[in-house]
Amino acid sequence: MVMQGAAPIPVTVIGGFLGAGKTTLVNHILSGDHGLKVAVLVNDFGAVNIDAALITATEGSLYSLSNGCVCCGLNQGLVEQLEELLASRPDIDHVVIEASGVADPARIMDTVRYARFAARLRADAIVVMVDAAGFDDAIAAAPGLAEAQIGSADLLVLNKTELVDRTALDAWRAHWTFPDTRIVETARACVPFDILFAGQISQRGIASRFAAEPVHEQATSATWRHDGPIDLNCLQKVLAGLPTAIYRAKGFLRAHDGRRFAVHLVGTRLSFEPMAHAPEGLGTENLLVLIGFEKHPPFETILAQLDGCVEPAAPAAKGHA
Amino acid sequence: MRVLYDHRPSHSGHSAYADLVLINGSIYTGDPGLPWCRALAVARGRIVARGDRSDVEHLIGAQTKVTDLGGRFAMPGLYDMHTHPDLALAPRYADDLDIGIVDPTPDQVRDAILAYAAKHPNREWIYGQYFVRYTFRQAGLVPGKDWLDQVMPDRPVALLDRMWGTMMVNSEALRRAGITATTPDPANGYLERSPASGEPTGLLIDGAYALIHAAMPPTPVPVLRAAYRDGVRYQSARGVVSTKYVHVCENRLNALQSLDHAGELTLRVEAAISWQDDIFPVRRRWELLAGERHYYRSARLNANAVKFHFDGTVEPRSSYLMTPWDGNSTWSGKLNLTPEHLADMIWDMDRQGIRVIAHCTGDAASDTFLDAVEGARRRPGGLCVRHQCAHSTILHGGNLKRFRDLGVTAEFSPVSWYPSKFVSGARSGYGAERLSRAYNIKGVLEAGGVAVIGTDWPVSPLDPWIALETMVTRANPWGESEDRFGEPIALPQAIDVMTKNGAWSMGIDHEAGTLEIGKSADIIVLDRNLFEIEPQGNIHATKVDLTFVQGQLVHDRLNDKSEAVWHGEAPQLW
Repeated sequence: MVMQGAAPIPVTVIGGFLGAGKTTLVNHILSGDHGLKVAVLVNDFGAVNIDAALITATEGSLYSLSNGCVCCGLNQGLVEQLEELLASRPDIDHVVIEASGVADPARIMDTVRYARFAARLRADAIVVMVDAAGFDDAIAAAPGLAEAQIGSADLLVLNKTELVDRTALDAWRAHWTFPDTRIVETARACVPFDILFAGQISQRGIASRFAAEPVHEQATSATWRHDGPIDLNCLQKVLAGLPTAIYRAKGFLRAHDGRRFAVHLVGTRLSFEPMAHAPEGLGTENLLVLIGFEKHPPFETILAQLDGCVEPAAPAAKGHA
Repeated sequence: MRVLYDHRPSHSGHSAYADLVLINGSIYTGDPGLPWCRALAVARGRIVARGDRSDVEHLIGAQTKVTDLGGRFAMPGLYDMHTHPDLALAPRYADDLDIGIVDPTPDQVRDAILAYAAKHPNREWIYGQYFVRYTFRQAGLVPGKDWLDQVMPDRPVALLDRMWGTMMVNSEALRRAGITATTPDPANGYLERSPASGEPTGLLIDGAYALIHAAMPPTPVPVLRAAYRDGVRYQSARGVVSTKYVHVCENRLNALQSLDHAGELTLRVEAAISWQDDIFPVRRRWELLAGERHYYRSARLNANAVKFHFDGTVEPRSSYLMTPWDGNSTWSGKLNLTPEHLADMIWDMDRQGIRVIAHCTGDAASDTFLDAVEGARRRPGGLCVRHQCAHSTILHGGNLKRFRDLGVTAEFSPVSWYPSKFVSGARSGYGAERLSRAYNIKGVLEAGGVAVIGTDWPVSPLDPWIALETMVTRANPWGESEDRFGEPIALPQAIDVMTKNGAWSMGIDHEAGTLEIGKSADIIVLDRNLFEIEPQGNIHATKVDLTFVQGQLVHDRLNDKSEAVWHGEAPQLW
């Protein structure tokens, strides 16, 4: 249990141009039924539409909501504010930081990844919102910035799709989809929580939650289990080359040298987080859940590739009597 | 009292006549005893007579240069007490790689690196800008050492990204910097690492740049010399006779000394050695402070000062304030150095006669600085050096009189004491109440303290006339905003701030800063009489026709045949 409590808290940075829907997504998270204690640091507190009836407590600048979320305005140095949050609310499951519309969200995630936060915070994903109807204006207004935002995205949310026709959406995708891009199309910024938080399975270190079915009807998943030791470099290659229909992967594994890791993949961001022990109740050495969205990913091929990362069993224990 | 630039061999004879006589001027002396005169005589760099033409006529000999000002306005030269022309201009001369394409593709980045390497076969490092992540993603490539090693395996390469948040380096650069999987991340940045092996990928974020910069050769003296030369040329053309270059290292001092030897250091420079390595490394800091600095000393140059960053700035809300930044939080900024560090350092520098110039934007930062000076004044051995509180953006009302009591200069940088887009954006972070009392020049002066200005280029333009106008108007010189905030001061006060107060803050007020008999002939001749024009929109556009420093004509705007060091208009630098 100690290990589980000490696992780093995942951090999502929400970026995107002014008017792309960041605040709408923040409201969606703050009022959503995801069962997680999400701390949301918002760029403009006044723009967030919190129903006063939902506020259960205020402590300093931190507002606690009845669904377990907390919210506060970004009103000081990010480093100090994160320190304050970690000190006052160590029970938080996930941190969401809303970037300003004129910020490069990668710069905010850079701060999260500073050494001082190692083992306390984990960069989960940069989610960049794009206004499908207004992107041309954004790119005209600040080309370098709009490109930087898209270039830094682990997940792209193409929002306000109800305002443009399919041809325009496809044209946008054709121009801005990179070989590794994962795009979620939304109206009113309703990004499925499975995508944002991997559903309940993103809760820290709770292996039993792996049995939970993804709740969103459009999500599909596959689980890979194996007891052999893993070649990490091989696994890194497979995970970095996953088809773009896979949005998330999460699991635990044991390398051939005995080290154990929690694995997190969100869009294009892959991290291996060292662990001292296997989580309780896993029932296997290696477990990986892959979550796809929209299209049916070629799970069987991927599972075979993962099998290929298991090191051949060591020649039968010669040293043993 | 003799001073160094006064020195002549004792057996040389003195002429009975003046070297230079200015007549027919409208000369504002800055001396309350005789604020105005029409003629000045100068011998051996000093003013020897002033008054009407009849008062100087007997000093005109065969060798005397007589300049008829034709009724023009003249006054003491200006003092810019905090600026950085090297930081703004050195990149221009460094001849680093500049790909010069808005959105370079990886192929274009590769071609530019190869072309630069071929053109500079003897250049150790290939350093420059920039790549963009999204073109790499478009191409399905991952920026980092693997990609860069294919382009350039044997020479170290370091390339910044467009947002200057990431540096991409190759394996050779990592090797030279000694960066391996076991290198810890710095406090203010990190090394991007392979998830599996922990090996650095060749992407360095924020503060991790310093690991590479430390392995690179420092900015060479010729580059810094060219940068300073442009800055000095500009300042002379804008009437600056004394300045402080705040942040220098040994290479910067060598560059300034080289200009001095060439006769191109056409103003007095007090150079402040960096106390921290946060802008560039100072490899010989302790040798310089211990005495090596004296090797640079001349009539125009000294390095008897140190500069440090005590708190942060407004944009990241890192200024150190006495009250929280806003009511929703306890955050009030922080100090970069402990008060104990500061107390010992100021005392020790004071004992050595070294001026401490402290970057203090928040009111709590200057409060702590003043406390440390007060402590140093009570400890034995101090020389009562006039230390300098740099920027002084927000001062606490209770501290205003301490500048006088402790003999500390309050230095203000003009960039945001007049309304502009910059102020309404970034600086509004201080909030309306703080902004209303920001840059309280009047408060310091009324409390009997000494206020000076520093242009702080490249933060604000190197042109000191913007500062002079906006001290008097507190309005936008170009009419871009109707707003005004803060208390204006009268023109004679503002001239004092930019002349005799500067001389006081350099410790030369007994011999410079006003046009008095016996003082240095640091005189500027203008195209307009500052006392006869509407200040707003006009003072900042003043043209300086002639600049004399220590009696030497260093700038002549209109006559390119004169013996001045520089001729013509001030160069366009930004």
